[in-house]
Amino acid sequence: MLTLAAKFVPAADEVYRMQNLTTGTDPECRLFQKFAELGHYRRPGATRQGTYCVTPSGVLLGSLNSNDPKRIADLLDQSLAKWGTLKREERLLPTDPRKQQADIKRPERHYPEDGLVLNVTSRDMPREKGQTNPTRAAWREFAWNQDFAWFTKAEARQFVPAEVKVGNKQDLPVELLHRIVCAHLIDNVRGQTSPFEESEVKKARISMQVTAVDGDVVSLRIEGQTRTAREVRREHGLDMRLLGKATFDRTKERFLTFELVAVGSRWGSTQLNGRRGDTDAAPIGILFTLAEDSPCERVAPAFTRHPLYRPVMSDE
Amino acid sequence: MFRGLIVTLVVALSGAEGPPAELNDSTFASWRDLIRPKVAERCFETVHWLPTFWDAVMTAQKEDKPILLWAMNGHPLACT
Repeated sequence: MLTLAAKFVPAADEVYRMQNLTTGTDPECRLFQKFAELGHYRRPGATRQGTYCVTPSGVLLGSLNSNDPKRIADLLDQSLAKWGTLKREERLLPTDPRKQQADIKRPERHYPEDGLVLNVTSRDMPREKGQTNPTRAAWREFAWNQDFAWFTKAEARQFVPAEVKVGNKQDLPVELLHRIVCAHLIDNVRGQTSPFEESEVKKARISMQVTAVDGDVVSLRIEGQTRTAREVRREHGLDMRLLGKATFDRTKERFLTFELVAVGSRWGSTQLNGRRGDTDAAPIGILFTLAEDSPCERVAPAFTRHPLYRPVMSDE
Repeated sequence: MFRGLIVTLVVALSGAEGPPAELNDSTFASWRDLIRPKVAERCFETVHWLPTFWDAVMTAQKEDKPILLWAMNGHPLACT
């Protein structure tokens, strides 16, 4: 499979934005729509999720939506055979696609190169003895999910107490605190969910304490508690305790390490998060670690449209 | 006795029986490792996915190669 995949340029992307015939009008969306409309889901209005093999010019080589390795290997094989029958002018775009990149307004263009980028992992934690996990499919029991949290360089500095002296402690500013609480302390373990509004934050505090100073490197202890709850339609919430540690280089103005664990309980469900029938309070864990500077970890956070993400998404 | 305590903690955090111990400085690493994805769970990263379709279009145009696109509701490399 990996040998076959190496013959392609592999990419992963969110389909909803690209498939939307009304709002998806940039060159990336239009090129996707050109071949996806001919793919395995042809019914108008249906999802276009799946695996596509396609030329840069948008000629569909093959597609399907399956997690069966054999079927995917067959798709790649057949697509390569079809690729081999096409002339160069059929395979490639007539103009350099780099010229159209500026017309594509994706949140990824706001990736904070010199800021703080965290990988956020969520997973169910072991339940009380005797407390059953009412799941029907095994994948739900072992499910985990991930997202990314972004902070600008100026925001990253605010994680460090103003006066760097061992023992000094400072609460995280509300805007950053609420971004973590509303957009990242969420139950997406089994699938997409919605963020909390600031009005749904019942309790939130995260403090950073200087534990050591070694030249330019400041060591920090992170500690906090949060509680969020939606109390109207589709009630749900999280009650979390946080603990972590980080090191920050004052000269480079960058975090060198960052590990923050949040554990507690979640309850209720949202429209798509797979918690129907499992709405009683149950343990959940969420881990924040430094993301690597690799293409795979440059994906934008799920809720960049949340008002709390405006400082990162600003064009200024 | 100390070793016995560690074994008890590891068993508790393994999810076999009962809830994990309270989050504190001494249990921090165990909680972190319990949540962090295992190598096998990240096997999808053995393919060097580009994070956007257009990144692939630009690269494939330059290299004259076909594109393999994995498209899902929610980004497959992030929150699906």
